[in-house]
This record gives sequence, structure tokens and C-alpha cells, in this order.
Amino acid sequence: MLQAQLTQPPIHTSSPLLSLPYEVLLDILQTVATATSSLCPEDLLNLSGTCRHLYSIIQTQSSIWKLAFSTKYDTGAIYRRQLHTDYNWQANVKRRYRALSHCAYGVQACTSTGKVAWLNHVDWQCLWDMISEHDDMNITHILNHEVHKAAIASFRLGRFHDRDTYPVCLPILSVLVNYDFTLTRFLTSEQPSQLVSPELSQFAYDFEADALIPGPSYSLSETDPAEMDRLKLASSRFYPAQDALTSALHLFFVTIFAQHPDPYDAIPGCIPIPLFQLSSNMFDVEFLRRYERELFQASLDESRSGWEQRHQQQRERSAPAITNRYESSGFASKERYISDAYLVEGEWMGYYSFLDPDDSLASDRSNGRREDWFDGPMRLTLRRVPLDDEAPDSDQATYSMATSDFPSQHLRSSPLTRFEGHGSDNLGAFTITGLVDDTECGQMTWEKTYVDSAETWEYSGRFILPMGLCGRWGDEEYGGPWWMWRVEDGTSQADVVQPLVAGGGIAGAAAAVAKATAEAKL
Amino acid sequence: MVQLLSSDNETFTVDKQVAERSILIKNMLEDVGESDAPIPLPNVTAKILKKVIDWCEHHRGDPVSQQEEINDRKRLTEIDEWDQKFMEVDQETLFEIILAANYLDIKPLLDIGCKTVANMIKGKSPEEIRRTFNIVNDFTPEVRQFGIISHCYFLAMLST
Repeated sequence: MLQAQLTQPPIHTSSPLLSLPYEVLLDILQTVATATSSLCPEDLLNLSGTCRHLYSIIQTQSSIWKLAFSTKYDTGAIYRRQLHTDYNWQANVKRRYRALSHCAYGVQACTSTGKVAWLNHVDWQCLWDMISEHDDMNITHILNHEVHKAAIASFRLGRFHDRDTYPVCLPILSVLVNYDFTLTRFLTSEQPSQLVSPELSQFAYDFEADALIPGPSYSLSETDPAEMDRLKLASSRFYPAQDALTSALHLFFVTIFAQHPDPYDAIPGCIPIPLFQLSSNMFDVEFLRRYERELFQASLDESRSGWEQRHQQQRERSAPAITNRYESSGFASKERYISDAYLVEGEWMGYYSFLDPDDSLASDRSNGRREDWFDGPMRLTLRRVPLDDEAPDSDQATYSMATSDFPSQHLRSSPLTRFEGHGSDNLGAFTITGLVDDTECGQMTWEKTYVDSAETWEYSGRFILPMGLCGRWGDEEYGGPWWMWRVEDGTSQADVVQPLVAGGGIAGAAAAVAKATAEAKL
Repeated sequence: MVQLLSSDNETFTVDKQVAERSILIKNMLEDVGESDAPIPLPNVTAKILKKVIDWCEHHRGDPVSQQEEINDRKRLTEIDEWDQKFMEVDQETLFEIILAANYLDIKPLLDIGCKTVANMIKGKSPEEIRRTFNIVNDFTPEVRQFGIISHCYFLAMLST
């Protein structure tokens, strides 16, 4: 009935456009939706402001907005993750344009007036969605609208605001630095004796600094209204499931390699670090962990709502419950764990760094700061092995990478994955044995034992796709960050790419690295 | 050869390959088989049928697969030079060509017509669009006021 009303043009119209058959008019509107090269749907909005007939069609025909969306943004992840069935294309066309424009205008205003209040209103969730759904188009919009600069501004101001945007701006920077290497110049120290900013360095070496990065808070039945409001605010903030600390450690390494005046002299056997090209499938596990967290929060909200009703304290309508769209796969149940642990298998290369406790020069420097030391690259091969009580390959079936199998290919019945391996670095050959724990969002711990000395070091970390694995080794007394990336054939995730933005301000070492990585690809 | 009869009783003799650019005519020929009788096209005048035949003549060599390859992601408004000149007609003729392309089921011609109209809409304000296509603003005064406010508000939000 509604459709019939909509398809009827005004009776007695003398407009040749409105007199066209509905399907032809819809074809024209769809062409208008895709015609403009701008992300702004201004032509559609202007057309909908002409008369009731066009307004009705444009506001209600989601096919128009679906086209407007899909000609500007990547949709592969939306379809693969089965979000398209109830996706509000219209709302998202508008929201994405608002979020991007806000950053572009904010950075511009910030440059000319120094005002930073706009940072409080950045729609990080929308921007992260675009990044984590990127296949071909999204990152170009992100860079053209200065999102990387907004993230840098947010990071630099973060320590004055409880670091509350670190959980989102650090993962964004860690991803976008692959496209604009020059970002690292904003992550350096003002002290000549130190390369990486103290803020980033503390995450590399100070094991207690982890607590400085806020994480998702879950609120249940707090009786103190003030505490409840605080928890509600915290739980309403957007946090990607890409770990912020791990992102900080990746940025730490990239900054060293980009900004060091002579990494080939400073690092024994130095090899250039790779840059990575994103694709949305690398963020499928991140998406699932984020979605599982949303479901968990929604279930808490429901419980609290019931509790409040029982105590006649309901102060506001609770948010509508979220339905688990992957329920049939066992997602978000006690029997299935989100996992990307199978990715641990393969050849890896990377670095670890540390502060030399015997650095006697440190005491001579004004701030007593010690230098970052590298032992040179480490190379290792890892393979999964069955747990003691697990039959070999018991969960292999769940590692099918068929895209039609989403999310099953990322779900496992066992939360633990054991792996072993061997490798070598400048100190000699070593063996590895470790565990990935998917009850802790893929937290990985492993022991590296040198064959000759039997010296053992503890490593812990997480996947940070597509960049590989990052974490810390050692302990509070002696240790530091590490980063490893996959070194396989062209089908691996570690394809080397040139940064999109090159030139101006890039350090000599970074240019050499970019050149070397391009040569490596050739 | 095939004979086509316009709504105003003018007969056009065209090559079968040219006529079959129209899926409607192609299907009719398949249904009727070999026949000398002209095919009646009651929804198309001689003036428009001549234009459509001209277009089909020019595009007779185009591969059919290309015609039907409508990629949603690349629904661009670029039109090739010959088609652009072909569509440089008064608005009444333009819409009659679109209607004829729709009736005769000539998808590539319909697409060019839709793109031409879309290009006429691009960059225009609601008032300019109304003037271009003779559209009456039939929003109620209240809705008009609210609509203008919300529309301006959104555009302002987009640009601040």
C-alpha cells in the first residue's frame, strides 16, 4: 500500500521527470546517487527537497542509498559479516561524511586557530569501521580527510585527558602509519638523547604503564548513582578490539626505524621493516571480539534494567537489546571462542629492544635517559602442536577460510592453542614453546630458550593484524618490546608497500627503509 | 530487413541486426518468425523512432555483453561524445527518448538518457531543479519550513 502510494506521481503533474514510470525515475535517482565524486550526498538531498513525491522515494528507497554508499565505500566486509541485511545505508552515508568532514575541518581549524575542542566530538567508531572495512576505497577517504592527523592530535593531547582516546587513536595510528610513514615525526621525543617520545617509550619499557590505557568498562548494578554514571560513560566510549598497548609497541618500532638517523649503523644486521596493505578480512576477528563485547554489555544492560525495575529505580529507558546475529554458529556462547591463533604458524622475522642497565653514559645525560638497544633481527619458525589432552588437528575444521563460512572459521571449541618453534638471532639459536589464550582475546605467552646457554626469556603479546605480533619480553627489571612480522610468499599478509604519502619531512632512514622495502618487493 | 510502424503510422525499414538492439522487437521477431508485416510500436512517434533508429545504427557493432554489464559500483555519469551530441535535444524529446528506450527495452540507450537527466540535476539547488523540470513545490508550509530548516541544518553540519 505504501509502495503504491509512493510510486504514484502527483495527479496532474506537468513535470516530465515526475511523469516517468516509477522504475525509470528510480533508475535516474540511483544514477544521481552514484554520479557525484564527492562523498556528500548533496544532490540527493537537494532533489528530495523539491517535492513530496521525490522526497518519499529518496527517503524510503534503500536501493538508492545502497548505491550511494557502495560507490564510495568498501562493502566486502559488510556483506561477509552479514551486516547488510539490516544495514541503514542512508544513515551511514550521512554519518560517514559527517565524521570525515568533522576531521578535515577540525584539523584545518586546529592548524589556523589552535582550537582542539572539536576532538571531543570525533566519531571514532565510524572512522574505525571505515578503516577495518577497507579493501580498496576507504583508506583514501580517511587520509584525504586528515583522520591520521586527528588521531595524532588526540594522542598528543591524550595524557592531559586521562588518555581516554588512546584505545582508539593508537590502533588507528598503528594502521595508518603504513600509509603515511611521516606520521612518526609526531611520535619522537623533544629530548635529543631520546628518539621515541617518552609517552610511547613508557609503554615499551614500563610494565606498569599498561594501566594508563583505559579499557572497556562494564557496569552492572552499582548502587552509587555517581559511580554508575561514570561507568555508563566509560562503557559508552568506543573501543576497537585491536589492542591499544600492542598498537603502541608497533608504533614504537616504526618510529625508531623511520626517525633514526642511521639504523644500519645502530642495529647489527639491520633489515628494513615492512609496511602493510590493509584488507578487511584481517579485521574480522577484531570485529567479532568487538561485537561479542557489545553483546556482553547489552546483556548487562538488560540485567540492570530488570534490577532497576525491581527496585523502582528506573531513571531512563534502557537501550534496546541486541540480537546475536551469529547465534546459530555458537558465537558468543561458552562453547565457542573467537580465535586467530592458527595464524601463528609460519615464518616470522622481527626485533626486540631493551634499555641497557649498564649504560654508563646515561648518568652523564641531563635526564638520565638510556638508549634503545637492538640485538639485531630474529628469525623464527612456528607451528601449532596439540595440547596435552587434545587430539592432533581436532579443530582444523574451524580454520576453513571460506568466506561463506563467517564467522565459523574464526570460532574454536578450545580456547588454548599451543605452539612450538625454533629460530635464531645475533645471540644464537633458540627454541620456542608457547600458548595462545583466547579467553584473554588472543593473549600469547612463550618462552625463548637459547640452545647453547640454556638462557630462557619470557615473551607475551598479541596479534596486531596485519602488522603481525607485538608484545613485551622480560620483566620490570630487564626487558622491553618486541615485534615480529610474517615473512612468507606474496600471498602472506606482510606484503611490502610504499607509503601513499611520501616525501616532505620524512627522515633519511625512513626514505631508505621505504626504498629498501620497495626493492624487497621487486 | 524489418519494418517498424510508429504510433503516427510512419513505416521505417531497418536492418534486422539494428532492430534487434531492442529486446522488445527481438522477442517479437522470435515469436512471429519470418514475416513482411510491419511491427507496430504504438507508444513511439515517428520523430522519436527515427532518433532511436539513428542511435541503434550507430551502436550496431557494440557487443551485447557490454550493454548488459551494469556495474553498480561504476554507475558513472560519463557519456561518450557521440551519445552526448545525440542527447543534445529539447527536454520533451529527451524524456520521450527515455520512455521509448524503456518501452523498446534498449537498456544502454535508457542508461544514457538517465545519465543525461542525472547530469542536469547535479549541482543544482532544490529551486533550480524545480525550475528545470517544472516541479511544483507541494510541501505544506509547515513541512516546507521544517524541511528547509532540517535540510539546511544537515548541509551546514556537512560543511562545518
